[in-house]
Amino acid sequence: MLQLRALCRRFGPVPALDDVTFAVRPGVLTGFIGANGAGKTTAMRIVVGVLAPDSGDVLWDGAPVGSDQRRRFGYMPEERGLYPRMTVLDQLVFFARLHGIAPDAADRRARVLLDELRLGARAGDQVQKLSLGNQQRAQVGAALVHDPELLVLDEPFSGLDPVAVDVLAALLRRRAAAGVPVLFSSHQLDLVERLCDDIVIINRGRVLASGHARELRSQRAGARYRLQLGADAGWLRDEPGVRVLDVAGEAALVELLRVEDDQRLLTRALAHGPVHEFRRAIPTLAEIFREAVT
Amino acid sequence: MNPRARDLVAVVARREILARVRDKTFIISTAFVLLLIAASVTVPLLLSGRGAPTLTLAAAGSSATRVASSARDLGAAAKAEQDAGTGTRKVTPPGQAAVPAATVDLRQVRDVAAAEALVRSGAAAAALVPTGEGGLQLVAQRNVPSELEDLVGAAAASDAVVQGLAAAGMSPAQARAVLGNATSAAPAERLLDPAARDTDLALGSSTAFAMLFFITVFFFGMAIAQSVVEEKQSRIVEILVAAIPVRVLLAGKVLGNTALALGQIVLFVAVGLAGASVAGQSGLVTLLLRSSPWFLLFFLLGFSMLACLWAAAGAIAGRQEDLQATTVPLQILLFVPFLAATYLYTPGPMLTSLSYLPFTAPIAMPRRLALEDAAWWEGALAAAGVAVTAVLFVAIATRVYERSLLHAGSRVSWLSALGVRREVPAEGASETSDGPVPQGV
Repeated sequence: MLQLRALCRRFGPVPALDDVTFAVRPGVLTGFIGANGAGKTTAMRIVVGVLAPDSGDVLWDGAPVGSDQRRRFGYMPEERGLYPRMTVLDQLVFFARLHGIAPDAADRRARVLLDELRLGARAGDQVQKLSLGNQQRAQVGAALVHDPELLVLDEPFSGLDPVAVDVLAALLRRRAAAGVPVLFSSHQLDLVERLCDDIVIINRGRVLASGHARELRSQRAGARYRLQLGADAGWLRDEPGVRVLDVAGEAALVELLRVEDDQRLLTRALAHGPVHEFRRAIPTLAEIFREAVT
Repeated sequence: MNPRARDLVAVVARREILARVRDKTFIISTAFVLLLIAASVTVPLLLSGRGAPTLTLAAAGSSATRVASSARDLGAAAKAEQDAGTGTRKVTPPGQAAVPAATVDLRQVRDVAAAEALVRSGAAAAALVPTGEGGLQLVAQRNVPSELEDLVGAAAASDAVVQGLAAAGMSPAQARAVLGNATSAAPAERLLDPAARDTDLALGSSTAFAMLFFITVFFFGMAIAQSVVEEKQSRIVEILVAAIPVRVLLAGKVLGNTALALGQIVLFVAVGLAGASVAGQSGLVTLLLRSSPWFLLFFLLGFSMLACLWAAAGAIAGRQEDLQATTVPLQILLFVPFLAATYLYTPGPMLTSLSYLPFTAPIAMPRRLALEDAAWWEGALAAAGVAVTAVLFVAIATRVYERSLLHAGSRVSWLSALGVRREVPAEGASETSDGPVPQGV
């Protein structure tokens, strides 16, 4: 388990991280979302040791992370780059060796991983000869080749076509299922919603929400209800204790002043006619995000 | 440094070396320099030492044959002196300049027509034939080889003197004796401070060493700086720094390039030695065997002194284009000592001072040692001076490298990278960093 505890970091007068605390659990994918400049990259760079925090700790299984532990992390930086004139295979072997893996094992793992990334046929090609999408796959390979105990990926899905997204998502899920905590940032909220069990929302250096995605959504759901009636829903406007957010013919979105009043509202609705749908409105991740950052 | 850090340094160094030796420019330039060295060791020797030509001269008639054989003797005498290599006496016929060395192959023929036929067929370079007026004529196809022209001219003049003396009543034997005395009358030379025969060779080879040092440090230095910028610009450095300590990265990069540069220089010296042996220049071989170990030692120290600084110059650049600017101090640090040590080559207080100055020592001290102007302990002392400076520079460069490596975007100044001047953070410089987490190795 990876924990970030009260991380602070400023660049000149600008606070980039302000008391950032969250955990990344093993076995699940954790999505890290926030607007540009929110502090995602800074937080990730601190986790992998590329940047030092002004204060706060990064903990691994409860103990502060040292350089030996960090060497067993896998990191994919936001700005992509590999040695342009080195072959894909040599590159991955080089990174595996840097993480302390013996030459034979490094070569074997690199080949297996390239096959897994469906890049096996291009193993002998120079990186600069690959398409951007394939370069990105090679980049993912560089982060994974030493079988890291933690994966930190900055925008791993940006620039990938839908097929490549599925390949990478499956690959990350397999790593997570093997017990590796996976933290990745993304702008694609629908993708995060689809893939991640946990999410962390950060804005202007502060964590606004973190935890299990479904729980977060129901927490934020509040007392909003969506109704689909058999007749015009206009009567809801005159109903006490009910704030109407949206009415369109027989459909309505309302907010109850007291959440305990939901059964009373349902009874009243049935008195007005048939009720086809009566459900609590759970916000999407995008809605939560928009609400949180505005 | 623990064993694992050493392994990591080796992994980085190996990648640097492989990247360089697979580079076409590197292969071509190395081959070119090798060719240049082989040529410069062998070609001048072929031109001078063994340069006395063999020329066939046809002669028709008694007077022509007499003059031609005298010309042959003069050429052979000059060649004998040149081969002896003393150079202190020259064959100088009376009233003539010293004659050129040549082996003249004399062919006697029946008549003028036969002589001309030999020249036409190319079997003879020229023919000496009588003219109708009792004189002699040198006949050639298009031009008379200058050696033959000089030798025959000198021989004919001497012959005319002998004939004149005989006509005046002197016996031919006496006449020849007079001429012989006149020929050896040219005063012998004696030098109070004779230049060692090796001096020219020593100067030449130490100049070649200076060139090699300058060129190798410059090109390898640039290559180190470029490879640092490449890692920085492609942001691959983030992955590298996340995996290994910055010092390990720097050490691997510098050691890899140093090993490769030293290997290249050893190859150059070996080819020079082999070329000199093949060309039969025992003097040059002895000189190279004596002076190249010193040169290699100073090369290693001098290269190490500057290599880290080139890496630092790469680290403070934001893009390849910035290298022009950030490497200027290094280019000056390399070029000015090179010029000074190249143009001050005569032993004296200036050369002695330069040989102890750490920047000029790698060029000036091997030169003094080759000229036998310095004792071995002077070389050792200067080497120690370079080594101490190298340690200091490595420390400075490591600091600059660590502080600027992850500073993305704009160029960092040398002063702020050293922490001498405080960098004013740019607006929205969210990617700016003061360096990574210190990692114990």
